[in-house]
Amino acid sequence: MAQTAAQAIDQVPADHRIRRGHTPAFLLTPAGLILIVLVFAPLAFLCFTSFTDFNQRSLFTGEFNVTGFAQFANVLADDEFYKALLRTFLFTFALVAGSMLIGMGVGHMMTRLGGVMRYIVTFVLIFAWAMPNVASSIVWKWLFSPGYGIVNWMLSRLHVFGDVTNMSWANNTWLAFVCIWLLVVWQAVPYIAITLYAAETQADLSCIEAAQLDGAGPLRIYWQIIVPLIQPSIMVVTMLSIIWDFNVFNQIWLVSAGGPKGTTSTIGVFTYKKAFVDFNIGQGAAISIITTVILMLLTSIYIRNLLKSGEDL
Amino acid sequence: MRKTWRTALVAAATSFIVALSGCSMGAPTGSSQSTEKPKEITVWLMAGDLSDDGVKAINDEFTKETGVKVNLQTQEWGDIVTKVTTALSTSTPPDLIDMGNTQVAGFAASGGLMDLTSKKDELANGKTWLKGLEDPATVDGKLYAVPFFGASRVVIYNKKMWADAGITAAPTTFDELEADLDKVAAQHKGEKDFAPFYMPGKYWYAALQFIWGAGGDIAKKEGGTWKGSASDAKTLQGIKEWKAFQNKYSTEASRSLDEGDQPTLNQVLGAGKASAILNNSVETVAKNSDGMTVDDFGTFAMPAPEGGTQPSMIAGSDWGIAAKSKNQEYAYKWLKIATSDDIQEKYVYGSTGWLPNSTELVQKIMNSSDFPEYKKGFFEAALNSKATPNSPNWTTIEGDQSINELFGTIATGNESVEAAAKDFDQHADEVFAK
Repeated sequence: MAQTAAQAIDQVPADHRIRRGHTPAFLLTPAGLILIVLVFAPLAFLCFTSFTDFNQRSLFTGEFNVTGFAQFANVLADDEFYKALLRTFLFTFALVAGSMLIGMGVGHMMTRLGGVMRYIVTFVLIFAWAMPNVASSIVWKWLFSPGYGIVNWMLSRLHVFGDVTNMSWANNTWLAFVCIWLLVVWQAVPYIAITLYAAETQADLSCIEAAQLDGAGPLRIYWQIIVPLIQPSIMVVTMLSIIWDFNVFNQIWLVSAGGPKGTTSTIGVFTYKKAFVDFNIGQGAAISIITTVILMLLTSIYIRNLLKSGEDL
Repeated sequence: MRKTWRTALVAAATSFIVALSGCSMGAPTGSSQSTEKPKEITVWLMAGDLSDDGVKAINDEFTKETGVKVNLQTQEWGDIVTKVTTALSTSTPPDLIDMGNTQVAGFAASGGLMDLTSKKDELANGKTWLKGLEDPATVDGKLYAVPFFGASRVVIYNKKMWADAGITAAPTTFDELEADLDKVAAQHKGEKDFAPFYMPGKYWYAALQFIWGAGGDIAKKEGGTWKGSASDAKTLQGIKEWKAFQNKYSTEASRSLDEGDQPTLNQVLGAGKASAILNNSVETVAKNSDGMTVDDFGTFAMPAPEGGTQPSMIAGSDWGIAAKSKNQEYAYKWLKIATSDDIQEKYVYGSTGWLPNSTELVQKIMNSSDFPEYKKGFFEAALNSKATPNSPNWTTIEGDQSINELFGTIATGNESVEAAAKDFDQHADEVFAK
């Protein structure tokens, strides 16, 4: 096939050949221009500002000083930066683990449901997924609000935790994390569940039947037969979850605003506060660059291992 | 051929990036005034700050005087500091901006606003502007914005509820207020979510009033630099009095809540879940109630435990002219009309219901025969008003919500008053040192 195409190209006149070479470039131009204006230019500017003391004054007057690596030194000397980074990694791990396990469970459950029930579950999942996260964060705040929050009311009715009607979730580090965790996982599960359900329906039934004949229980079949069969899908979904959960910002900002006392500030919230509340734009840029470098290092280790083990990306 | 094409593309992209970043960096340092008359000037007005007929009156007068049209844009309060910052940094900013009084210092100190010091006498026209509006607009002795209207914070109470509890006259001392609230509490015993005086813990304006009443402040200027002063003896006393009051008369759930959380103060009072609040507009409470009118509420300045009344935390707006505006001459003319006595009396007070910008006008309106009773508290309190520290870095403390958190942790008892105050001072010193 490739050969015939090459032969065909050989037969067209030379000027046509050149024009054909240009066509992809022309087609890419609009997208390329948008990328340059909206992505590359701000990125270049970000790198530049990280070496300056760019702040609110610079925005108004255009005055700023080039400070070399001072901003980077400031960030690396700041305890809060390391705390925020550690918090981000731990919270990302909790989010990915939670949403993957629950997502796998729901996906597997869907293979066992009858037609009508399955449609209802899919419908409900898509609804949760389609909700803009700013809207869901605000609803969450109402659900968990002290005094009139319905979650507090229900927990009080359980008579397990005592009267928690007036409990404030955002006022306690752990409770705030639990509340945000529930919110993020709730919206992450639908995508994982539907994707893995689709993967499971493609799994080879004969393997499962063989295992059943050998007397394997449902749990064992799931973990030792189905999971290895759908592993490629699980890998992709996990990778995406890590990327998404690392970048969670709206939910944290709207539910706890990084409080109490900055103890729920992940790296995103920390950077935002520096750059757009303090208007210390230079330092905000430096934090972003350091974070990107750390993430690139981690990703490169992962990709190297992947290539070593001979798998496709 | 192909190589040239690629090189050209890269070159084009590079020059584009350089040109683009050049735009944002090489902004002009001084404002170049255009010599010819502009077709129109752009004015940013905050939502709810002026009634439509007021806007029309100013614009008509301006167009009549100058022949220039006005492009008026109404802005919402959410994320306004970021919005105004971005707008002021462009080469074609709005010519005039209506700002919250506590936000002015930040924009002024970073060079976003035109210095109006030389025009001060002409603008004030012999009158004394309300201190809580003028102070925050003055940075290092220079005036950067002009007071437009004020809204003092006073006690707004439900007249019927208080009458039912046997209270016949508004209290004049703190002890009387507490005694009255005890009566109301007794009347509503058993209503779990009822607050005699609803006051969210993170509602820091109320806490600041207690601090001022005790003779303290949240920050002070020492030898040219601002420092957090939450740990000063008088400030601590004020905070403790506030905590005792908040914990006793507001609901337990309210301790960790903020002004912006649902239900809002106005909704709580409007729904009959509280008998009083500290806030700045009876009209908004009535709007949030089920059929109550402004006359169903009474107002009085909040008494201080030390005697007298607490200085009222004044909210309000100031007008500033963008430093980069090319039409400063015309912007100034518009500003002069908007802050003139005529507009102040007829529209700022008359149709919008705010406090006018000068003490003379406040007195004049109070002495007029048709002055409504429910407004009395606001006008009296305005004469003893105060605003946040006018350090240019104060906006950061409001923006990062460390002030809300200070009072939230104290109200909930998460931390002792002293420990929370110490943490706040440390943070404030860091912010002020920038």
